[in-house]
Amino acid sequence: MVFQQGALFEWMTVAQNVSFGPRMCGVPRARIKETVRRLLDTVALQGFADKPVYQLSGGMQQRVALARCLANDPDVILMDEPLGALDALTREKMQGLVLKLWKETGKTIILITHSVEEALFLGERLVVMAPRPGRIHKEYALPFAEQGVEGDARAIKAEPDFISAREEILSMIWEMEEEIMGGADRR
Amino acid sequence: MRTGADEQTVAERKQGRQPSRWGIWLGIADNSFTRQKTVKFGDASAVNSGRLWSVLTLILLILAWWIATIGGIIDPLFWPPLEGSLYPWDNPDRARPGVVDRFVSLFVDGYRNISLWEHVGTSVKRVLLGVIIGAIVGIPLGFAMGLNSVARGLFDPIVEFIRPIPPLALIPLVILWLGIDEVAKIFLLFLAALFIMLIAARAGVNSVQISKVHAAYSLGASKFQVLRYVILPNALPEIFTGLRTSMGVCWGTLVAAELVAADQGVGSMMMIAKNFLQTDVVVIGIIIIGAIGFAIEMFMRLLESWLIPWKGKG
Repeated sequence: MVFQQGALFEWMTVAQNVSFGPRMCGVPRARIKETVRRLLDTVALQGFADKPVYQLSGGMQQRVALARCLANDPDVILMDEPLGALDALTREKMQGLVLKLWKETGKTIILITHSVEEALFLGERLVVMAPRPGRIHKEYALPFAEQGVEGDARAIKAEPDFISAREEILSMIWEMEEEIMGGADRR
Repeated sequence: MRTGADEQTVAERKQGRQPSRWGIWLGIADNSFTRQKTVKFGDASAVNSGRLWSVLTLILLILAWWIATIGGIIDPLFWPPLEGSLYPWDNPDRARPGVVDRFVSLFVDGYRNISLWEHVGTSVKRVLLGVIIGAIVGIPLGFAMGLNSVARGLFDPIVEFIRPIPPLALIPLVILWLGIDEVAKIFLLFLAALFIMLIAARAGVNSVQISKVHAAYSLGASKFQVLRYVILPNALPEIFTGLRTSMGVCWGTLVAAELVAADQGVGSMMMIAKNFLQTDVVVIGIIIIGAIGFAIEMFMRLLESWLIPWKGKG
């Protein structure tokens, strides 16, 4: 699992955080060391292994969280608003990283987000949820993630297809919102 | 574009403006951090150490003491002079050693055949033992109460009932049960420390962010591993605050306990001195108690910044 910010262990260094899973499961030390080195490479944090995590910026902390999650080599990764607390630019960079990890590791990633754009850009399958009671509202199959692995993120997000899909989903969510708010008014 | 030469002058200028370390320590010089503040009044973080004034206060206090007791203006019975009766116009009947002389003699010869070091050492040892045993019992109990409903249910009424009772109120019972020797005093301090440590540990457990626990479980940690690697380090800052508090409380309780029944220790030294109207020894005892309490607190703060550098940075 990758959480919103604040789920790292601030009493440990970056390397100790990343190696937490394997250490708990009793993986041999030499192999843990190798895993940590490889994962810090993947998330571009090579020089930070021995830094305490509270000295890192928000984006770097989330990259540590990604690496920590990958260290156990899980089949499915659940990300609960992993980029929600980041600034816009860092967020776009991290989206690229998530796509890269998805492609390289071939893992199934379930990512929860409030950003329609992020969902469109990162998802192969997009599920719009409706509240009270929580349920699946609509499902989409999307091509953008596959394109995003190779192509330029900004160009993809500016494509007419992308924009029209974004507007469609946004207006759908707005309608849902109005329904709920209207219901609250009548009450 | 900045040239290399430019860069150097900037660095040099910065160096020139850097106040000395003593200046910062004394609080005369604003460090670069305070200078960046937009308002000087109302922003508590812009207040510097002000140690220059602390030093001044200390000097003034000693000066006032010295002036007030020159030549026996104040009866040494009520407040002893700082130094002995060195003045020939003094009434020889009233000649008494001053606090400084008495301190030296206590230091060299001890008090009633027990050296000053032994008095102080005995007191400090009692406090440390009380706090350590209190922590050894209190921390696991607090953890259990924070993590397990049965433990919480079992101990909550006992803890909440005994906690508000001042340890000194238990002295009669403790003396009845355990006598007046070391065990009784350490037990009293143990009680004082126990509840503080217990509540600190419990608060530490409660303060753990649930997402961290979830993260640990999702990474394959067992219950014990969650306790050892997540809950315990998360509770450490609270536990340390508890240690600091209980050190302070125990130190206060101890002196009071020694006043009641003891033949060694700073408190007992003062009590015996009182019986002989040796005000100067009493005053020295007060100063020693204050100084040691202060030293303990400083040491604990140092230890805290060294052991828990992540405090408040979660």
